[in-house]
Amino acid sequence: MAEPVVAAEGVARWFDVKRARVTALESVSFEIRAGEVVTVLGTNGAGKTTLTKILSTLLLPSRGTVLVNGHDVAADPRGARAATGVIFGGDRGLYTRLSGRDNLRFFGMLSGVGRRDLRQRLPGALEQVGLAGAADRAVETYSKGMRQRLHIAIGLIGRPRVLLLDEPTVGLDPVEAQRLRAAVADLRADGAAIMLTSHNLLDVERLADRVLMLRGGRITHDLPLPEFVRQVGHTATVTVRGRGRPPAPGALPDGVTVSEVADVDGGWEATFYLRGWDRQTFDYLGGFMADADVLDCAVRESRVDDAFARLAGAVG
Amino acid sequence: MSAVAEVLWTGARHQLQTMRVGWRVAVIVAAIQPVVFLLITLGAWPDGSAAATTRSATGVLLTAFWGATVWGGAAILRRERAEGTIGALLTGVRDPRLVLVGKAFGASLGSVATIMTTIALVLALLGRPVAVAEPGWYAVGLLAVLASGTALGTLLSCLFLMTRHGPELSSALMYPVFLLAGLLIPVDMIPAWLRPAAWVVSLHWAQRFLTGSAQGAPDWPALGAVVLLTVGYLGAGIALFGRIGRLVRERGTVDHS
Repeated sequence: MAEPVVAAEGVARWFDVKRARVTALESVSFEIRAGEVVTVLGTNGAGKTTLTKILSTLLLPSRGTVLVNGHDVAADPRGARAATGVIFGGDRGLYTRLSGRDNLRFFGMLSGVGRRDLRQRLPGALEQVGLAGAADRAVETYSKGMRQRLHIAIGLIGRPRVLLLDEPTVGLDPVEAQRLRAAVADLRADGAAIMLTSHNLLDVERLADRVLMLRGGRITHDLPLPEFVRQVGHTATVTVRGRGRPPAPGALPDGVTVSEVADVDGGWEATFYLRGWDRQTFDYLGGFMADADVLDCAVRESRVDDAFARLAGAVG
Repeated sequence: MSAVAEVLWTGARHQLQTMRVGWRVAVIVAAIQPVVFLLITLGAWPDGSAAATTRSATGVLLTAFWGATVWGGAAILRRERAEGTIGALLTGVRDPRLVLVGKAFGASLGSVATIMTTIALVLALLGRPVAVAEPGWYAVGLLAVLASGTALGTLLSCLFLMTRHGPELSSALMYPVFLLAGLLIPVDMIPAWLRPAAWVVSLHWAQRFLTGSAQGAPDWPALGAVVLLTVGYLGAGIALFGRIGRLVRERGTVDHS
C-alpha cells in the first residue's frame, strides 16, 4: 500500500470567542495516500472548513500534528505548501480587473513555479479548463463557471501532490462539473492525494474512494465509499403506488422493512426498504403487488445522500 | 534572475497591471493632483526663474507622490482582503513579504512615472524651464524617493490592514504630512514646536536632498536620513507583515476566498 501523503494525528482546533472556548475540531486523525480521493462530509459547522484551512497552512492546529508530503504544517508550512494545491468554489479570490492569463501567471508564481516553467505550462493549463479563448479577457467579464474553471487552473498549475478541493463544483453547470471531475480523476491516476469537501453528493459518488464523516468536530466514520453507503441500512427503496384499498403488507421476509402504507391522492403508497435482492424479496413484492391495483412501482438504489442524511441525523 | 528578484519583479509587474486597469484613481492622484498643485505653486513665483520652478516641481512631485503612496501602495493589502486573494498570498510558496514589497515597489514606480510625466508636460506647456546643477545626484535622490515610497507603502499597508479604519487613516495622514513635512510649505513657516514632526518623514529629507542637488549643493546628511528612515520603515513593515501572517494562522481570521 502506498505511503500516506497526508497524515493527521490527534488534530484539535479551538477558538476563544468572548471568554468562551469554541471547539471546531477534536482529536481528528486520518491519512490520505497517493492516488486516493478522500471526501469529508458533514453538516454546516461540522469542522470541514477548519480542517481544510489547517491542511492548507492557513490555520494552526491547537493540538496534534498534520504532515503534508512529510512536512509539518505548523513547523514547516512552506514545505507543506510546495506540495499542495487548493481549489475552492465561489466568485472571490481572483484579481477581477486582470485577465485570466495574468491571474494564472501571478498565482503560479505564488505556487513556486519558475518563470520558464510557467511560460511553458500556461497555455496547456488554460486549454485544460477551456479558457484559452478567453485568457486575455478581464476576469470581471467571466461567468461564474469560467471563474471556477480559473480557480481550478490555479490549483493545478503547481502540479501538486496534494490537492484540497473545497466545494469545487459550486456554480458549475453539469458539463463543467463533469469536466472538473474528469480532471480530478486524472490527477488521482497520476498519484495525487486528494481531499474533497463538497455538499454536492454527486461529486462524492463519482470521485470518492473513502468518506470521512465529521460531526461536531469529530470523525464519526472513516469508511470506503461502498461501505459508507451501506451505513444507510438498506441497498434499495421500492415505492409502490396504487388505487382502491391498500393491501396489508403481511408478514415481511428477512431483509425487507416497510416504512408505512400511506393514503395519497385518493390512492395509497407503500415504501419498502430492502437489504438486498433475493428470491424471498422478489416473491414477497410480487405477491404484494398481485393482490393490489398497482399504478406505479419505482426502485431506487441507496446512495451517498441517504447515508449522509441518516448519519448526520442519527449519530452522536 | 535570482528567485528573490523574480518574486519582487512579478509582484511589481502585477501591481503595475492593476494600476493600469484601475487608471481612474491613478489619474486623480497622480495626474490631476500634481497639475493643480503645480499651477498653484508656480503662481506663487510668477518670475518664472528656473530655480524657483525646479523647487516647485520637486515639492509637487513629493507631495503628489505621498498622496499616491497613501491611496496606492498603502492600500495593497486592504484590496487583497477585499478581493479575497490575501489567503492565497499568505499561503503561497513564495515569501509573501517579498511579494508585498514587490507590489509596493510597483505602486511607487507607477506613481513616480505618472507624476513626473504630468509635471514635465505641464512645464513644457507653460514654457517654464527647470535647472538641475547635479543631475546625477538628483537621479540618486529620485531613486531614494522610489525606495522610500516602497518602504512606506509596505509599512502603511500592514498598518491599514490591522485596523478597520484604513480609509479614515488615509485621509488623516494625508494632509498633516502635506503641511508638516515641508514638501510644499517651507518648514520655517510652521510653528517651531511642530517642526520635529517632519524629521520622521523621509520625504522631508528627500526634498532637502533633491533641492540641494538641483542647486549644486547636495545635502548629504539629508540623503543619509532618507536611507536610514527608509530602512527603518521597511524593517518595521516586513516585521509587521510577518506578525500579521502569524496572527492570521493563530486566529483563523482569513479565508481562502
